[in-house]
Amino acid sequence: MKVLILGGDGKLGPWVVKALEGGDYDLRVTDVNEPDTPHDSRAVDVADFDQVMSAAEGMDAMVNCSVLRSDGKIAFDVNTLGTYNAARAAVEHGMSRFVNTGPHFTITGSVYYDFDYGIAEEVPAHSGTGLYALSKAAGQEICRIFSENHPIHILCLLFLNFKPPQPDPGAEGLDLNSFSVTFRDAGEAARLALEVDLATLPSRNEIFFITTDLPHGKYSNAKARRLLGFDPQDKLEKYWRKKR
Amino acid sequence: MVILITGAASPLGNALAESLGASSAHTLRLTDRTPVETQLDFRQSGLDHDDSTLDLMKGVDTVVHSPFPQPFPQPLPGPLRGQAAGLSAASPADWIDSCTRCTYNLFKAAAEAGVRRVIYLSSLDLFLPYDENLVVNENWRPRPTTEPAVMAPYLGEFIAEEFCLEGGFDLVCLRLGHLVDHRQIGGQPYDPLWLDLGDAAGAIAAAVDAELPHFAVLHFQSVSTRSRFSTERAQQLLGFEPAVDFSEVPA
Repeated sequence: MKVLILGGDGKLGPWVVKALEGGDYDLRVTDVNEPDTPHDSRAVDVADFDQVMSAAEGMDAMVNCSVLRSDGKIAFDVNTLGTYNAARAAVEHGMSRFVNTGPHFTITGSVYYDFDYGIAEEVPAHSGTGLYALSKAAGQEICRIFSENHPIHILCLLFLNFKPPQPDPGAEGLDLNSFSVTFRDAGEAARLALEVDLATLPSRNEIFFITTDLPHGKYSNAKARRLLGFDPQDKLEKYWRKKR
Repeated sequence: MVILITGAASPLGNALAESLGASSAHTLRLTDRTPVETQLDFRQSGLDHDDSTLDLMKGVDTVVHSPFPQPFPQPLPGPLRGQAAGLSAASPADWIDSCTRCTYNLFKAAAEAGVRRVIYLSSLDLFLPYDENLVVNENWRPRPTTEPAVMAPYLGEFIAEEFCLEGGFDLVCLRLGHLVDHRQIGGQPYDPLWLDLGDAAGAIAAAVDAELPHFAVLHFQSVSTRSRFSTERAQQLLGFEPAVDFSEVPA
């Protein structure tokens, strides 16, 4: 499978590349600055449709890891317009699969922070009004609209907190955010999203919480386990178990 | 009451300023990307992510926000399909930027400034995928296509709703039919979504002054046996009774 990776040189992108290496993939890795990678690579600004369209030429699927959190103009250019450009290019090139990524608060924004447990992907989406959350939530809504209007599956993987498998000694036993995963398991989730039999999915737009198995009971990864076969290897136990 | 009208250079903005300005209870402030010659308080703005957008809000009680990316050309199209055909100069990026980023900046400034009510203008084109025989009203889920002129106004609704839910301001989302000036229809074939410009301006003005819940959605279009969508809720809450039903226009 020929896979285009947008935002391939950020925090998550290289781990997606790593998860796909060794598999039956031909990768084209892109970012706003050309990544240093042994794979086919080029500089692509996701806010520029022509660049995204050109990069998507000949590809079978796309993974969008691009993100910008703070700048008022660029956040919308990357998180909203960039997602539109990616989804449109995927459709125009006849791709059947597009994997988008974002933060979990595109759905479960601040209204969910202090209340509710067992939160799953099916709750009504409310991102709140934060720039990062709402610009990414608009991008995710664009994914839903494209998948409802065109024959493409768009799988949205949601993350929040990326942690190293083992904490620094000073961080042991201090607990961690209740929506956490390692980069290694996150990259693996992207691989699973590229390989899942699309016929097994309930709709053409499915959202997955990618968090490891945590005892908090706050967020559920059951859907990712059930539909993608996600089986996180890093349990992050030394963060949430008391240090003895 | 101080009212800020965005998209003031458009024919709808003009008509709205005329309608709202007729009341001595209203003080108007106008804004647009392009300059407007007017005796009213006009401030040119791109609704960017800076203090100039916050400055627009000083003393404002109500905002009427038309998120569309450029003034409508003549003859008057509305914020909808007819309009989309006339707005060839606006790129998909223009539509998305105007309806998402600029709208976000405006709403953020409105929330920070303590604006009481925001009226967001959207499009009944969001419901065109439904079968024509269905009684589609505000209870039905919008079904935007990926056409930027349809999808982008919906994304603005999506953003507006989050600000409303956070309690920043009351939100009135008005979905308009296809705007036309009934005096300039010429030989155009009848469109079951038509809404006369004067009726639209009157209805929006009514929404400025009406007692409405914290979050209200209303559909406006001409009313006749040939109308595509129901406007019953607007009739109930605002007394919406458009003067033009286009009955003289053959199908």
